[in-house]
Amino acid sequence: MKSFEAQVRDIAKMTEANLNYVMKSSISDVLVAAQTTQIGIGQGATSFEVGKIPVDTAELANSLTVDGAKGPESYVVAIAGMQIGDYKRFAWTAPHAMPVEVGTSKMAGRHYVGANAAKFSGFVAARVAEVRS
Amino acid sequence: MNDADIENAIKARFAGGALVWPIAWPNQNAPGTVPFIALDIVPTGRTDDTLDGSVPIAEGFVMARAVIGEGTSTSEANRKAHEITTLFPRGLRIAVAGGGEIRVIRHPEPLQGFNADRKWIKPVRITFTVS
Repeated sequence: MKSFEAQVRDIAKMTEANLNYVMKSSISDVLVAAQTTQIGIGQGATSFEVGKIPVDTAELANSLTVDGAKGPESYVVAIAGMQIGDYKRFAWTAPHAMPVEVGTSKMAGRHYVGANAAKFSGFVAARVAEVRS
Repeated sequence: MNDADIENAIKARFAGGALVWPIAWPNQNAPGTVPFIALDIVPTGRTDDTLDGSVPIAEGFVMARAVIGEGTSTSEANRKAHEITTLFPRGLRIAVAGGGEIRVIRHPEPLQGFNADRKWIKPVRITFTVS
């Protein structure tokens, strides 16, 4: 049987692992949601959903950039290497990223970043519930 | 507390705000001439930390856009964006007709302006909760 000290150490390790899991998973949840695609107007879409990224040529979804890496899944490796306390900036660098996000004079915004970032606390709560169960 | 009541309360705040410029409400056509203000009201979810589900909290944000013609000074749009931020100060509470109140939980955030549709657009994000 392990000593009491060893058991406490195990709990501490497990707690740290859980914290890392919650952090990485919930940040990833935001990015996965933001990169969830919908057909763009250029592909014949007649309606849209807030919170999904529209795709005509995929230029916007492909422009996601983090730590100098660019691509629709560039966030995966970046998040995998994150530690609690790290700072990361995820950027969509296509020229039309901002107009599509916030809207223009003729078009409502798709809010693929803002709407999903606003759900972050909900994603965290869901991931916390996972590790508690 | 439903999305219609929340939207109406926010629209009433804009309409009564002496912003002067015409306002393009969500899903309603923008005026043909600049300047004007365009609005999106974006619900982002509902939470409830109580076991019996008795205190739902709706979350969302308003994306307001001050729209001016291309080739004119951006200061006009910046000033209008500032007026919008002062209309929705952090901590503001707005009663919702169906019950509850909207609370502005962050200082409104003027975002980077940009060109689109041969216009200059200055966005302002207003983040709120409703309970």
